[in-house]
Amino acid sequence: MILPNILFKVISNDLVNKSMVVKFCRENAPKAIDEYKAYNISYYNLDFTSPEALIESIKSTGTSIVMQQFNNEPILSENKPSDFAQSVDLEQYVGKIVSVTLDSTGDLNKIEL
Amino acid sequence: MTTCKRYFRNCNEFGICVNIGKKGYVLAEEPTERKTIFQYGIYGVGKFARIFDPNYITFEGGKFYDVREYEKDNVVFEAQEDFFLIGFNKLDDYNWEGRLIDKDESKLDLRSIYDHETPVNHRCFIVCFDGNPLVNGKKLKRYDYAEVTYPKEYNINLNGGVLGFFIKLC
Repeated sequence: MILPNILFKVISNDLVNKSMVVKFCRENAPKAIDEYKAYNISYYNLDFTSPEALIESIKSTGTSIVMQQFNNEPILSENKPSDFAQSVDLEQYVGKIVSVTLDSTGDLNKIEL
Repeated sequence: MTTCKRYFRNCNEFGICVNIGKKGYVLAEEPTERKTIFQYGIYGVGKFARIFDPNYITFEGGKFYDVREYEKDNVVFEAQEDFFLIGFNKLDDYNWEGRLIDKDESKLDLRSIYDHETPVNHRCFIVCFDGNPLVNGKKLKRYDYAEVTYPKEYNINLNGGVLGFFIKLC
């Protein structure tokens, strides 16, 4: 599965307290990056050894934030799945919205008993 | 032209290899890819053998086959009917035991595996091959799996479904 790029925007940089304020979102987010929550990140969590390393360290922080944004996005009322019994008759599916788990890993589904 | 859909699903302990195809399809596997040690047929009929060996097994829907002796061998399968086969694959060098859970088996017997004077480190798994069996009241679906551990008890209701039971001999 190809995931969209992550965007980040540094809102401010505090040289005294050695921290920055940054916003993240994914490239195909449904709203502008400025509308997302800002996060304060300490220099302690960043790698200044090279430009690539710095961006990579910012990305490391942003990945979980972007995933959380993705999971928190509201479900449109128009996309609410239909209630109906599963069937092998395709006619039963016509016009219905069916919700299934997205599994991009190819892993077996482990059940805790 | 005969066709076959083939896909794999893994967990860290074992893999599942699924083949769904049409009558007349021929599948050959060479030793590096032949990792299937048990096979379950959802439906269909087909002949399975070592390449050039006149002795063959007939895979039939609803039956479970121990094919450990064909691991890392050159094998061939020819479908006599449209077919749906699920293979249980090894991912490492450990040996495995495998069977289907019997219709009359309402509790999983792990005591006979683990309750010995010398401790054993085997690991046991159940895999749903078909239907919606219930284990401790939880409904499983095809390709769901669970690790089962002693001394926990597992109440089983096959509910018309099919469950495989596999022991990794550690």
